[in-house]
Amino acid sequence: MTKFILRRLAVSIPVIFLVATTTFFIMRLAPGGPFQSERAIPEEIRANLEAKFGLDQPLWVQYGRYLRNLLRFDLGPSYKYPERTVNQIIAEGFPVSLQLGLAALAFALLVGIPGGVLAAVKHGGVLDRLTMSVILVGISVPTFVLGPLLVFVFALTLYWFPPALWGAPEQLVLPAITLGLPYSVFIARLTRAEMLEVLSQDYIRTARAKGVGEFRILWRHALNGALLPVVSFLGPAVADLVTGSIVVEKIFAIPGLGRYFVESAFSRDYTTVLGTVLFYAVLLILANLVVDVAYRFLDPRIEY
Amino acid sequence: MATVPYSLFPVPSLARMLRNRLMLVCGAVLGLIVLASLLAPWIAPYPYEQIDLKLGAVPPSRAHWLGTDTLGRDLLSRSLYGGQISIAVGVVGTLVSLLVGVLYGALAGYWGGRADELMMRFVDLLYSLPYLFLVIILLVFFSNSIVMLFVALGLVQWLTMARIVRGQTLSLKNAEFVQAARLAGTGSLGILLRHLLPNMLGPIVAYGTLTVPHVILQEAFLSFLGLGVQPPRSSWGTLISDGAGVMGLFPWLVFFPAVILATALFALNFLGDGLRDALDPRQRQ
Repeated sequence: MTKFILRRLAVSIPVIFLVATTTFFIMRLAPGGPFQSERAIPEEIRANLEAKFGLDQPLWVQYGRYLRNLLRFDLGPSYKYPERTVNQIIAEGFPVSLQLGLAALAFALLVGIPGGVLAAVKHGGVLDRLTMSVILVGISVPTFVLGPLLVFVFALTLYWFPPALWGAPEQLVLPAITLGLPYSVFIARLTRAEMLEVLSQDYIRTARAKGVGEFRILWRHALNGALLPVVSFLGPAVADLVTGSIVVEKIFAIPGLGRYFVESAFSRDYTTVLGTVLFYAVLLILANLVVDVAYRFLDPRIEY
Repeated sequence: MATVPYSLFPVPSLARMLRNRLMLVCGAVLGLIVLASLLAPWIAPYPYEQIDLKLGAVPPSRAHWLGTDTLGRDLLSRSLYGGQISIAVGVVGTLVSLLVGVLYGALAGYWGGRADELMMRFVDLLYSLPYLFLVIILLVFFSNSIVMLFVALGLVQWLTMARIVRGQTLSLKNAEFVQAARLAGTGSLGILLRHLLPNMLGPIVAYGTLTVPHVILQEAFLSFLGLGVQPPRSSWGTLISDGAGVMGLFPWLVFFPAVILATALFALNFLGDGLRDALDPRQRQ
């Protein structure tokens, strides 16, 4: 197991390097720069600013310096938010995004798995069809429609939850549901399909023959087997949750990392964009690794 | 993995598709939306960019069936023209992903061995990247044009297609009819194009159908961030995004585009699911 983890970590180092290099050069090859905004700045001031951040030097010198700083986990200063480093921005924005993502994931699992199991048990019945319809509708409604809709109904009409902003626990509810609902729907579909398959297998019949209660068969014996694909779905889902949170953070005016990313991309804040992308790349690689390790724990048949 | 050679429309599944009335309804609704969008220049009641500031935002009425936006532009006309863009983005993005994914997957599966190993590792790596972030960077830093949108979205989508096609190729390439073709002197390219690909059309079509709504959704997602289609043109995504901002005052501006988009996506998802069940025997229960 340790060897497997170490090998995966070793493989991901060139990936991070590749992401850093590609992003760096894509941004630099494009026209424009952080200090060439529409509001004209005097030429001398711009030159001074660029000199301060080393932007006047040849590209490969800047690239080399960036990589050197990267080795010390120093992502450099932000151009758009003066006096702040990218490390600080990430340290500020990420906990917010993480809370939102975890809450959404919890919602997705708590709704999706029981929903899928119930649909599978009542296979073909009214409940099953109802669940499947909800699932299809849920997949077809994008986050940025769902979000304003929830705000409209639960915040502006019923006054149950605050419409936006961040901080209090009740401000987490609507964003988390907005972000989590598409995943809950997907997880329900996955769970249902797997449960249907697992329930027809021999070991379930054996358990039944031995007199195990129906409840225990469903939630212990069958669900254990059916959860494998759900677990492997969680890896890519983390990636989607991360990108999806950009929109949710925008709808609910949440000061998370996704919003920083979009704002800094628009203002050509090279270091913040690059730092955020690298941070997310590392995060996704780790998430996939955790999922793979968990997968191997759940299914002992898989070899390293 | 089964090694059954696929045919595009196996007879029993065609019968089953016809039995599935909901699929027919979805197909009809989708056809209607596509047709209406394509015919927009002829059936749209107003030009999509015609501004009427004196009118402003009015709720649905006789003159404007879906109402008008804050600039007095007719929402029905804008939705129809927006449909053209959204559908075009969905279809072209899917075609790009098909082209890259099918080629990549087929070659990886056909070559096999170390090349396959290497190529699929690469796909695994790309899977673990924050891809949409790179799309955003591409769109922000380079031209924010429709062509760029097509390419960027297509390039995000090809990974799954490559995996599916590679799996199919692996399971088919040692089938007897392929060996027979090889013995008859057919070259690699001929085998790939004439013998392997036609037999994979089922799954490719099914997953392609599922890719279209995905791409449309991502265009809408980018539009919401202000990166998609630029004004005065509209897509379903930009309409929803604009409408969401003034939802409290003029709810119809977000309601109608959202319903249209959700309906189209629902129909496409449903059709894709049905096609997959019908055309991909592995998925059959």
